[in-house]
Amino acid sequence: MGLIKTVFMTELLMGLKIVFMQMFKPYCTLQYPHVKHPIPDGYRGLMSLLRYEDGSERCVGCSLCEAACPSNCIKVVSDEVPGQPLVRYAREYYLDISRCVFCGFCTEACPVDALAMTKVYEASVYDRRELMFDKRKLYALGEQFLEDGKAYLVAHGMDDGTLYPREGLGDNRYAFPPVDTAHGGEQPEQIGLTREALEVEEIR
Amino acid sequence: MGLTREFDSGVMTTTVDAAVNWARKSALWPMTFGLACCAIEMIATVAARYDVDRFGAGVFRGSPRQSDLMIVAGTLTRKMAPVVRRIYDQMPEPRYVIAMGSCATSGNVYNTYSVVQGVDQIVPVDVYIAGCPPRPEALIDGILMLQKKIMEQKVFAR
Repeated sequence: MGLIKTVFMTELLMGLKIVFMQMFKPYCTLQYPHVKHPIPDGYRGLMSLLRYEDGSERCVGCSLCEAACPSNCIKVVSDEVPGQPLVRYAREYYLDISRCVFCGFCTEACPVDALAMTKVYEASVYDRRELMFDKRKLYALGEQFLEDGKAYLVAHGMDDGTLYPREGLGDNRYAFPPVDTAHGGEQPEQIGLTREALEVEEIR
Repeated sequence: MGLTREFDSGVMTTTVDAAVNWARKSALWPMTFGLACCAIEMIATVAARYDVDRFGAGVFRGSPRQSDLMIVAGTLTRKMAPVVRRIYDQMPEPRYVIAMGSCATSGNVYNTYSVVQGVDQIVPVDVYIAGCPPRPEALIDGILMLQKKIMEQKVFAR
């Protein structure tokens, strides 16, 4: 039996049969430059800055994204809007994509939903300096992929379209969400002496 | 090569240039140089789903003498840096380098004493791919950009 198997190369033919059967299976290769994957809404691609519907910039230059960034790749230069001393904006905004880890912490830190991530993942360049995105480039990305940015904010639960209504704000450019200080209605546990007890201590 | 870029650019030399460049870009043999997590995406690029063999860049070689392209995928530490330089020197010309991912491009979050802040401090880099890590599609995009760059090279024509 072993001799017959050796002479007729049965094991080799068994392997070739498997190879041959693959020809009738459907093609699994993605023809990438022509066909692209559908990217989910929550995908963390290149960063972009968004504008409001009336064209004004959402960013208020608070530098919270700069503080939240784990790789220190964001630089914000904040400034007052000329003529409006209470309103601020980002005069310069630099984001070094070559150092970015695409964690999305900056978008979560942003109180006005100015930052959003797009579905763009092709960022190959010949020159490393092109990966330093300035404010103009980020706003251009935000305008080009506005729908991606909005879908990102909705997918990550930062915006359902009703959290920050712009109507009825008057002169304010933005509104912060209401802060729940009472921990869902319950008062926090008292630690140490109460105010009344302190006053009693002072009298003594 | 002794005859490199010594002729006037005419019909003959530009045609030969185009042929040589086409041959070079169609058989980019990369070297396996996975240093960190980007290597996983590089392996996925070679596998059947993305199949970088369609662009002639799927024959991964283990030795620098038989490869044209070095895909530096991952964090380059200072201890690994001399090795990268030495392997780059052992590669035959023409040789190309792709810095894949943020770590190879600029060091990424590892702004420390032990990490090289970008492979371009060690070897000349042709294409930088941003991403942490880049998708396999992004690596294919980088390879396509490198092929475009190769096609614009001048071999014999001045």
